[in-house]
Order: sequence, then structure tokens, then C-alpha cells
Amino acid sequence: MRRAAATTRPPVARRLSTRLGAIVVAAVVVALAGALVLVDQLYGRVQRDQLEDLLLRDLARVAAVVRAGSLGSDFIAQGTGEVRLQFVTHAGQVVLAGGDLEPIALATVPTSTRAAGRHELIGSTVWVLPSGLEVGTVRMALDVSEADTARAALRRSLLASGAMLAVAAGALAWLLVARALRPLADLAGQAVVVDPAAPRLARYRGPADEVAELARALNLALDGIRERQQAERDALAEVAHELAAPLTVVAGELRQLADLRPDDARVRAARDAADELLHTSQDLLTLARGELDRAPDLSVVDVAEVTRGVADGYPGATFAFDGGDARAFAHPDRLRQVVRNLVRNALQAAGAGRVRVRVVGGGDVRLRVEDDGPGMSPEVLARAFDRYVSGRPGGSGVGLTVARRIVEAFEGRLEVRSAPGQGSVFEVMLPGWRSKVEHED
Amino acid sequence: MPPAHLLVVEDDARLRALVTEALASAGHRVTAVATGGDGLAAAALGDVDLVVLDLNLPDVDGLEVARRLRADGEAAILMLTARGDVGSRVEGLYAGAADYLTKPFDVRELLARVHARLRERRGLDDVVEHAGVRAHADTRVVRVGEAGAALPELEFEVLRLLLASPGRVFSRDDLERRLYGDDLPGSNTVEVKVYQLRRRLKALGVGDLIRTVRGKGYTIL
Repeated sequence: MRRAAATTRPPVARRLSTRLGAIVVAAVVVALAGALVLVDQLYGRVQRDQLEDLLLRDLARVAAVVRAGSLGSDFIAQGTGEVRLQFVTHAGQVVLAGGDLEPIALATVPTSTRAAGRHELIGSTVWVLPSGLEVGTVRMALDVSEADTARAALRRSLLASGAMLAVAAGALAWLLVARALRPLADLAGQAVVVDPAAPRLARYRGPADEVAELARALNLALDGIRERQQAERDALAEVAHELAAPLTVVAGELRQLADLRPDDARVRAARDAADELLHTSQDLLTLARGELDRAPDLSVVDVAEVTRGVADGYPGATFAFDGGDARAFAHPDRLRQVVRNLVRNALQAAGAGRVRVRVVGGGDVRLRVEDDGPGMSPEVLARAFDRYVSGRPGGSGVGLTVARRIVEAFEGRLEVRSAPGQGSVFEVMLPGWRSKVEHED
Repeated sequence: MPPAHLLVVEDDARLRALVTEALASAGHRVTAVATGGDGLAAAALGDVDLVVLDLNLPDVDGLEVARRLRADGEAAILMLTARGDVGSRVEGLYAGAADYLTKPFDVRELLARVHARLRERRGLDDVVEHAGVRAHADTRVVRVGEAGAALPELEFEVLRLLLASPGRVFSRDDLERRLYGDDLPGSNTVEVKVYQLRRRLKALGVGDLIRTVRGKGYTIL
């Protein structure tokens, strides 16, 4: 039995591409996030260093100027909102302040403080009078909220462009993974539909990577199987060649002898045995030579007439024709093979006198072979048409296989109904000739 | 089936005897030889209607014998083969110009094939008649009752083939090979010929003589 060709790709390969795609996308996202955090941190540090430099420089300038005799109030007057300057005595008394009076904490190194919704960088230096007397500290607070705003803006734009990058990179990664896996999926698809009876090598189109390796290994295995099959086929053909002539001669001469001596039961028995031998060999060879793989020559065949002709050769079977147009497109020799196999199968199952053959014409043509034999168990029934599987000991297991393949080549159906104790019914349905003919004027 | 002159070329003596006997009892005149050379010699004497030809001959390959037989004469050919792949080669090479039967075979099947081939061949140099339609090979005239028309060569050939084997389906490939041999023409030439033939037949009142079998080809019932 040929396996139906799968038209969809196997789900296995798809799951793999999904998984790999997700992994790659996740990796891309994590790397991007890391890079963005790093950029943000670096920016923050640079920004802070610059602000600290600014603060320290300003403090040093103020301290130097005050020491040189200038008045602190000169600076205070210039004080903008961004910078607060305070002169604080050792006793902790703020004697001069610009901006609001919120005391600036003492910080010997630049320190970031947050208080009352303000983010400031504060620092201090010693307050030395022109006389050289150290009286306290000069404290300065730099409002860095603008820097904060700038950093927040940077973060926002980093996040936005990062997200876009992530989406783009993810999509690209997904595409690339799917593309990289296509040869694999393709290979899997081809492997799924390999016909075990006639394995064809897989075609591989893709880079020379592990998948190529897999394709090579697969083809090596298939090639081995094919070679082996070919060797077996050749051997069978050789045997067939050796047997063909003697078989034809024995069956043919016995037939002519039986025609000459119609009353000799032993000659008839020999003729029937030879015919059976001949027909079984024909079935086996039909399969072995792959003859059923080619389209049959068709002609309009009267199924009732052909069936009657075959059934007449088996005295153990009765034939009935229900009338109607029983013509269908078929090949007479092949159709005879079908009827013969069904009748022989039924006779072997039920014995003489318990097999009925019936043809029903009109529209589709039905050919039914019924027997009162023991019937088949569901297990046997399920494999009834499998090649080399026989329901009875000593059976070759090709008769029904061949019959079904032939019927299918005629675009018909061969079905079976059976149950233990209820006998079996094999039914061939062939489309009536009219359904195949186009009407033209 | 009127008696015919048949040539049997088969190297297996037992098989040759069986086939000769079976064909002779069907009323035919049979010449039987064992080698391809003898077969060609016998065929050269003319007057052979059909050759039953074993593919596996000791001296000349059966396919070569068939090729020469076809080149020299009009005898129909029925090949006997033992290997399936050879069957497909025959099929490919001759596509119906030669029939083949695989060994082992039932002599009754052999007879049926021989008779089908003879019937088909008869239309070649004779009058072939079916379903009230007569085709005269010598004048290429087709007659339906009192009406009649002369046909162009290829259209007549199509009609003759179909009439000679009623019920048999000829695929477009079959017809093409029969009409043109190995020099295959354009893709839809056969369709055109059949279309023109149908128009002529319609004028004679038998427009539905040639039937199209969906996806398979043409036939006359």
C-alpha cells in the first residue's frame, strides 16, 4: 500500500523553529537591555563627574576670592536659582546666604542630597578671611534636577529605540532561523513521505552544514535500501524468468489436454492446480515488477460478462447478474485477475458451495463476492489488503493487495465487510462508463 | 475471427510448441521459428499479419527485431516478456504500436490479445466497420448509410484506429505516437485533429461517435 503523500509540513520541524526563534529573540532582547543599561550608567557617571568638577571649581574660586578680600555678598547677589551659596561659621551659624535659607549640610566631598523635592549636589571648602583666620566653611549646593531631566529623557529615548531595535532584531532573527531551518523542515517533509516500497532519495538544497550531513546520511541509508530492493527485485525477476516459460507450458498444455479429455477428473485437477500456480505467480510478479505503478490501458469492459467468465471456471461459486448496464472503463485481463482473486479467496475461506458472486449494473457497477466462511476478526480485517499479510496459514498475502491496487487503478473502490461467524463480503465499485464520458455535440 | 498468418519467434521449444498449437487450433496459419534472424527472414517473405515475438532471443535483441519488422512491414507485433521493466520499455518505445504480454501467461489471454491485434490491423488495408460507420482504407472514405466523405490522412488514421478497437481508450499520447512515430509534433495537434474529425462526422450525422473519456483520451463505443 502506498502511503498518502503528506501535503503539510511535519509539526516537529515547526516546533523546533519556534523554539530556536524564541531562544534567539530572547538572547537578542537580553543583550539589548544590557547594552542600554550600560549606556545609561555610563552617561550617569560622566554627568555626575562633570557636575562635581563644576561644583569644586566654583567653590575653590569663591574661597580664593573671599580670601583675597572680596565680599561674599557679591556672589550672593549673583546667585541664580540653580546655585545656593552659604557662609557658615564654625559655630554653625549661617552668616550669609543666597537663594533660600534652607541650611546646606556639611559635605567635605561632593555629595548628592534629596530634600524637599530638590535634588542637589553639595560641597564645601574652608572659609578663610584675608587675615588668614579660618572662620568656618563656604558651602555650595548645585541644583541638578535639570541633569536628572536630561538623563530621564535619554532613558526614554533609549527605551524607545531599544524596543524598536528589539522588535526589528527579533523579527530578523526569527526569519533567519526559519530560513536556516527550512532545509531541515524540507528534509523532514521528504522523509515523512518516503514510500517504503520504492524509496526515492531526498533532494537537499541548502548550505553544507549539519543538515547537509543529515541529508547525506539519510540518502546513504535510502540508497542502501534501494540497492537492496533492486537486488531482490532483480533476483526475483531472474527466478521469474526461469519459471515463466515452464509455468506457461505446464498450465497451457494441461488446459489443452483437459479440453481434449473433458471427462478425466485427474487431468482437470492437474489443470486447476497449474492454473492456480500460474495465477499466484502472476500476482506475485505483478507486484514485484511494479506493473501496477503504470497506468493501465483502458477500454469499456462489460463487468458482468468478464465476471461470469471467471466465475464459470469455479464450480464452487454461483454467479448472478441483476441486470442494468454493467460497463465500466477497465482492462479485461486485470479485471479477471481481480475477480479470480476475490473468488479464490472466498472459496479458500468458506469452501465450495458457499460463495456467491453477484454483479449489479446501472450507474456505478458493483461486483460483490460473498461467502459463508468463518469471517474475519477486526485485526485480520484491518490488514486484509496489506501486502504479504495473509489471513490464513500458507496464503501468500498478495491476492487481495493486487485486487485492490488494480481496482484503484480503474478509479474504483474495493471494500470488505466481515465479522467472526458472519462470513465476508468483498465489494468492488467501479464508476459506470457514462460518468467518465464527456458529452459533446 | 477469420484465419490469419501468424509468425511465432520464440527460442524456448516447449513454449513455441504450445503457442503454435494454441494459435493453430484457433484456425490460424502459423510459422514458428527459434531465432530473430529466422524471424526476420520469415517476415521478409511477406504475408504475415501478426508476429508473436519473444523479447529475449539468443541472437538479436527482441526490441531490435521489432524495430526492423516495423520498418519493413505492416505486421502487428505482440511481444512476450518475462521482465517487467522490459514491458515498460516496450510500452515507451511503441506506445501501442506493439502490445506485450508478460510471462507466465494463460494461453487464453494470448489468444485474446492476438485477436484484438488482428482486429485492429484489419482496418489497415481493408474496410473497418462499427456502429454503422464504415471506413475504407484504400480511398480514405468514411460512409454512414448513403452519406460519405473523404478524410485527410491523419484524421482518417485516427478514425480507423478508434473504429478498429471499439471501447478501447486511446490516450492523446497513444494517438500521437501512432500518427507521428517518434517525430512528435506540437502539444495539441491530436486535439485539433479530433476536433476537425468530429466536425466532419457531425456533417454525416454521427457527431457523437467519438467520445472523450475524461482525463484518459478518446474512444468509440
